[in-house]
Amino acid sequence: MNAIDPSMSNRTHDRATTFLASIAMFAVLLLQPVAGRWASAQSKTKTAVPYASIATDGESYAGPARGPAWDETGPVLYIGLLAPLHGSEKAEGEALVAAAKMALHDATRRPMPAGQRLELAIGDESGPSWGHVSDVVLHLVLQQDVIALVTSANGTDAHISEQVGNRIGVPVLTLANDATTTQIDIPWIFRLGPSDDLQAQIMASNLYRKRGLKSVLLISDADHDGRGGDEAMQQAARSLGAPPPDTLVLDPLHPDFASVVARIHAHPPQAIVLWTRADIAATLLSFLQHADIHAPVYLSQQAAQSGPGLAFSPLAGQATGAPTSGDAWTIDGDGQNAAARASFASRYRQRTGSSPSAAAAEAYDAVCLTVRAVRAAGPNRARVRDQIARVRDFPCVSGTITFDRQGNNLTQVHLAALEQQTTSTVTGDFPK
Amino acid sequence: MERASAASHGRKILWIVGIFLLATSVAAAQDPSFYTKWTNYTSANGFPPGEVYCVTVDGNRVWAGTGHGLVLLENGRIQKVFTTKDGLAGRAVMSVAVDRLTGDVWIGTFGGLSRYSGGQFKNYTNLTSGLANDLVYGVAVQGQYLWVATTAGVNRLDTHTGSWSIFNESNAPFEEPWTYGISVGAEKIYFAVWGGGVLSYDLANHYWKPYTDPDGEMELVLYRNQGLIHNIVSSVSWNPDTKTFWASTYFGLSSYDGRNWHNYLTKDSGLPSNFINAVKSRGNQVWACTQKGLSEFNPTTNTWITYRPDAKTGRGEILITRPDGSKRQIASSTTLAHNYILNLDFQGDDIWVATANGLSHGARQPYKQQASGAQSTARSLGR
Repeated sequence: MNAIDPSMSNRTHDRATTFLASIAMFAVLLLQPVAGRWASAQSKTKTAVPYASIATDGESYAGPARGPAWDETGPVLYIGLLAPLHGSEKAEGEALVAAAKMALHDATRRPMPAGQRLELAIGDESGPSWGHVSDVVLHLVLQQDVIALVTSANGTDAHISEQVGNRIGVPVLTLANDATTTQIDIPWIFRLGPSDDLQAQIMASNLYRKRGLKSVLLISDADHDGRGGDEAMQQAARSLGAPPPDTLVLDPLHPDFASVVARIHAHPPQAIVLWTRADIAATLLSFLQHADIHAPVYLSQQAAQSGPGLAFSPLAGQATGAPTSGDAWTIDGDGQNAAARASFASRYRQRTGSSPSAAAAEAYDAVCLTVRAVRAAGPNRARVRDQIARVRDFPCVSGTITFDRQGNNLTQVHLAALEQQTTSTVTGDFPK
Repeated sequence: MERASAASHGRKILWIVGIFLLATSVAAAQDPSFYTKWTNYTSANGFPPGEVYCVTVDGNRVWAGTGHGLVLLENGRIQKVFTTKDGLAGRAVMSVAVDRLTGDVWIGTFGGLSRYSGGQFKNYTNLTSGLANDLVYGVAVQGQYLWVATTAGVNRLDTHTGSWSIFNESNAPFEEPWTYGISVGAEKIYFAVWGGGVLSYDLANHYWKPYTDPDGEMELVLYRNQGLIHNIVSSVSWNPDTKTFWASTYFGLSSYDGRNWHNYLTKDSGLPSNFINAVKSRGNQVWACTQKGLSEFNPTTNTWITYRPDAKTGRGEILITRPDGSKRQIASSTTLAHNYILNLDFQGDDIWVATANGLSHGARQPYKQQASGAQSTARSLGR
């Protein structure tokens, strides 16, 4: 057949749509109770009595700058937001900005004390070099004198912000999942999302204990976040006595998706874990679809961030009405904040045309928490830090937030796993 | 006869030596000298407000890096506050090193590297030079080379040729590139790496060696003297007299003499806090800059002395922790500008201390009994 058959083209599109729908239909929410949160520390060490632990030997921050002499006195107070606004992660960045703007609007309906106005100071973290990110952080902290800094899911940028925040004395609320930002009592950082360790334990428990799988393939980025996820998954598997996952590492700048597909065809795993950036996860899922790969796919929170640019999520959701990976966080068993969450999700969709990701919800909460802290503590970074550190059982749209002494958010965690239910429907146009 | 005379002479010498030792030890016990004379430089007397991040002594000159520029003091008087308007690369100054041969002053800022020479600043940034990153945490001079600790690895600038080298994960065993501090030894350079422990660079053989937390646990210390106590290292200090490097972390203090590690926490030492911003060591002195005061530790006598203003009254307090764990607290009429300590440097026997609310200059004075001591329950600090 030389001529292109239009019906074939439509059929192909329909099949792709059906596939995409089916891949999202099985959005498995892996809910873990609060009690599981400390498994990270407990599972790593078999030694009964360590000589010292931060939980018992750590101490509260005794630093300076709480006095009125350190107050910011200008008419405008800035909340910094570090987000990627160009390049492949632009969609995730724009989602954070949209959510942060909504939060600022919602939280400042009531005038701030002393007549000060709160505004967002947005720094674009996209760029090829760390030099750029450092300069953006410095600009926000030293030039715009932000009262607090909210960082994206990028773990490296979170660390840079943490180190600057620790020296200068600026509260940092990060959406990064890198557990090392909050494993020790660095007083200035608070992490809203689940740590890599916790995500890995939840996934490992589901993969190895609940499903009894033996062969898991982990695909991660060759960067700081990917390495963190890789180590966390290996550790989680070991702690369960399961065989460690095979690992494929992708260069995030030049990902070789064809090699991934070839590897999977050569050694089909029972399940795949994606610990990559969201844009890479989206493209890879598309490759898996076209390559007729049926293994269930588990997504780290960063990989599951959805935005307008992520084809697999909105398309599937629209086609079936089923939850998408980006929606996963909104469907939890904890109904405590359901109304606020639904309202946020609905207004976010109206505003942006797509579902909010977990990171967008966390950005919304980070800004709301900061405004709340400024109201209570006044325009002072150290006192704002103290207020944020005291947050307990606070209902937010991403969950009920409680920070422990290291700045970990103890809220429940929701992760998505995608599984094809009717794989035969999508295999027609592609040879097996 | 000669033998008897020699024996008698020997006994006399023994007596004299014995009496001398007894006298000196009694004198030391009764009349110890502490840093009780403090002069503070704060916003109240013309110093920039807020944190002083670093202090470097150069003869009778003292350079202090603050959040609002670089301060030069000469003979105890503030001479000049350099800011970005004067040409400084960044407003927040994290480190200063003086090249003793050329007199050049190298300044690490949050905004790049500056060289102050002949009354002029020359700046080096990530965009205009080989500087790895504009977040510069540490600078140190080693012969013709300047070593720079940045958040994206370590730079070495050959000041003769102007050529830059960069060391990071690609060519050295950096677990993380976030370098927070430098200390220069005769044979090695030591680097404090946030999340990556301590790295040493062997100058003769050009190889790197990492020292990391052997238990691999961020939240725990598995064994007391297990090795480096924690991988988030805030500073490092090589002591040429004892051939030991000291590493401060936000979860305790470590030392390594090439054979043995010793670790110190509040629970087993006189440290007032495990949150340590910096460490400096020379001779038998180890100074820990903690968030709850400045501690001097003598590893030979296993005695700790902590200086700080009382948290409630602001009056000076000196807390002595003896090897058996017993504590004695004495008062001093003057004290540090703040108990959150960030850095210090030596000027002869004097010390200059960077605090969260100004710069402090401390001088030793023989201690005269002026306040009542307080004994705590003894607990052994024995190693």
